[in-house]
Amino acid sequence: MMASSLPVATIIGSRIIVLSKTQGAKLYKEGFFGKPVNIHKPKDTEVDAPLELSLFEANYLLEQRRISVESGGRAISLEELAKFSRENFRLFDELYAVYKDLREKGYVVRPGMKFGSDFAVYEYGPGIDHAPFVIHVLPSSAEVDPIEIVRAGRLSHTVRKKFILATLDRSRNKVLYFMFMWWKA
Amino acid sequence: MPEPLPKAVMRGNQCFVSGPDADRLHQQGAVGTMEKGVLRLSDVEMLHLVEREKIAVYGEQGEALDFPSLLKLLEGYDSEIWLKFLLYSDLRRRGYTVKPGFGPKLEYRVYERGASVGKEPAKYLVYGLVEGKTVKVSEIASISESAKLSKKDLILAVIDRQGEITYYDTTEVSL
Repeated sequence: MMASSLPVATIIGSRIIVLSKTQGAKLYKEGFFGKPVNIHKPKDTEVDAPLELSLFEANYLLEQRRISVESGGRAISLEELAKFSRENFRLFDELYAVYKDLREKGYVVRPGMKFGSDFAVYEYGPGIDHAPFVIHVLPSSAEVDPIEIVRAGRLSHTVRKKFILATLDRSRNKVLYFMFMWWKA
Repeated sequence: MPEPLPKAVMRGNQCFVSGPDADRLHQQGAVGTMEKGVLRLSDVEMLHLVEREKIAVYGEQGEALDFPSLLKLLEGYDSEIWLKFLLYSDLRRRGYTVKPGFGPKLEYRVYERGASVGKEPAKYLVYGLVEGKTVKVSEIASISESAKLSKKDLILAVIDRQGEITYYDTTEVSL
């Protein structure tokens, strides 16, 4: 059976881990999915550790039928995983829409935590690209102070990484990306 | 003796300049609209020109109206006249030709410096946002969409609590 050869991701509490080191290494190698546990800057793609997947990655990979996800010894469906994800991550639907859109466009999408944003986006991958785009996601219903725009403009300039604001337009089911650059009037 | 300033008469929230000054102001100042030899100036244009000492405005009874009294009168027509004036005059002082936007919002069409207004379209749509007043992300998206449809660059003008303005070129990118 083909299905049995899929990497298995296991839900442990609120987190998702690929416990098999070989399956984990394969996923990391095939598109920089997940994070090898306790390896901070995986230099080469031959990693020897379990792999933690983000909720976005797990949903995406399950949707793509590239992994199966189990909880308590039972395979769980995409719907169940989405529900679990919403319970464990704020704005999951908006963030996932952006994650998926960028992955479908061929980008490598990694957490943006160290840049203070939601996602860091690479053309080829971390350690290969010079600098990622930095993406901040806001729900389209969010009320923001214009200071957000100033902040976005400042970050674009200072970090040399393009700072992009993303939002999901639910009426068109389309992700919109905005860039703000200081304009010398 | 300095030349007397062109005289404008206020009616409602606009003012009117007639005679030879009308055409000159219209051409050189890139302000107002000409109708049968009479130049009509909008509220912000009037305030700007008075502040720059380019015109003298009088009431219909012939009373002189200075900048403070005009401002108070115009506030009666539009409570946000100050912000509109700030943004208009900031852009004018930077050398742009500025025309009103289409909505009641803090919005202007702005022409590239040296552009011949009327012959070519405005290059920018400038939209004012005010510190302390939130804006919906969906509103930014819809302004951006309408700027795109009219083939203008969207510039968001962020006005801080003391009236200082910073401009941001805003682009929807496809990635």
